[in-house]
Amino acid sequence: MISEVYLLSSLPSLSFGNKPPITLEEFEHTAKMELPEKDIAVLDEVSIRLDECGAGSVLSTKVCSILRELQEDISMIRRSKNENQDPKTNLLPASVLVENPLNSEIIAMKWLWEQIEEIESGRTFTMHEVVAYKLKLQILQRLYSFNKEKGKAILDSLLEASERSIAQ
Amino acid sequence: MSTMKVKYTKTERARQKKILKVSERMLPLFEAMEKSLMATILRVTDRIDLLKQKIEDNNTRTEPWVAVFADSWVDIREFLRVKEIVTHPISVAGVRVEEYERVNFEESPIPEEAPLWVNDGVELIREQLQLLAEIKCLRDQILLLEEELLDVRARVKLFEKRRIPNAKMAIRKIGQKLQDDERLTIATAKVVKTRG
Repeated sequence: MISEVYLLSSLPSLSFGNKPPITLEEFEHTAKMELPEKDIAVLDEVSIRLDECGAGSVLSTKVCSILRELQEDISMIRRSKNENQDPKTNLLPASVLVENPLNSEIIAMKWLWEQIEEIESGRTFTMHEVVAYKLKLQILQRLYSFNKEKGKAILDSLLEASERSIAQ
Repeated sequence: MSTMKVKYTKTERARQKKILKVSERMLPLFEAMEKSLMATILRVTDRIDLLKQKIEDNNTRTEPWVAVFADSWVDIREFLRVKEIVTHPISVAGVRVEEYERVNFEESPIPEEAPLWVNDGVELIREQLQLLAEIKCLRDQILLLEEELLDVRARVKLFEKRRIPNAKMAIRKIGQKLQDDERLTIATAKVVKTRG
């Protein structure tokens, strides 16, 4: 408990849509200095990416379960679109279906953020809050990676490379 | 034209008349070919402009969400590559060119865990690459059509500036010479008759 208090007190607060105030590496480095090994193992297992999420603890299992639900919703939308059917959502807000791809990703991340807030709700200065901090930081990092100039450069370079191969 | 050597014979005049007749019949054909090639090049150029506009429209439509291409979770380059451009030969304004048919892609299936935007991203890239491939085929067509146009223009010029004027001049010169010769013969005959 004390180590969680020390750690969480030393971390900057996170808010959805803002630039991540620290990097994930900085967070993990600080966490390693404050938390015992068993808590670090729990922390290592959680991620907002389902393929990186382990189920070795009650907490990480809970996170995995949320991610799986999100994944099922996304898969259902994808299937419906592929089969030219009207897509529906179970968990995500319906606006995810009509918004442009960037806004849809932001809506999905916002939904995930809210689920994470439920995990930490009423559990101040616990591992739940530490785990939630890591997951929220991952969300912010992902959202921060959505950069217009960089995205355009990636798309342009891909098309230019393909255009060159077409010309040969 | 001034150095043109002409045989002042009736046979040569007949030959020049034949050249003139054929040339005057060929010239409108080449002129029509020139017009047709120019119109075709213009049409192909218009099509290229239209496709470029489509690419631009797609870029404008994508602008509000282009940021997702920088998603740290995804490398969009993994999902789609051009394998080959399929074309078939056709004749355009009498020139054999390759017409765009489709692009065959090397596609990697989009994994279930991939973010939703990947489908939209791949579709956009597919459309843009198809448009670029068609533009490439049309540019190749223009190169061939312009080559043919140069050739036809050279022929039109040859008929307009050399063959037809040369033949006309040769016919006129031969005609004058033959007339002069005839007059001289008559005059000589008259002189001989008078003296006799």
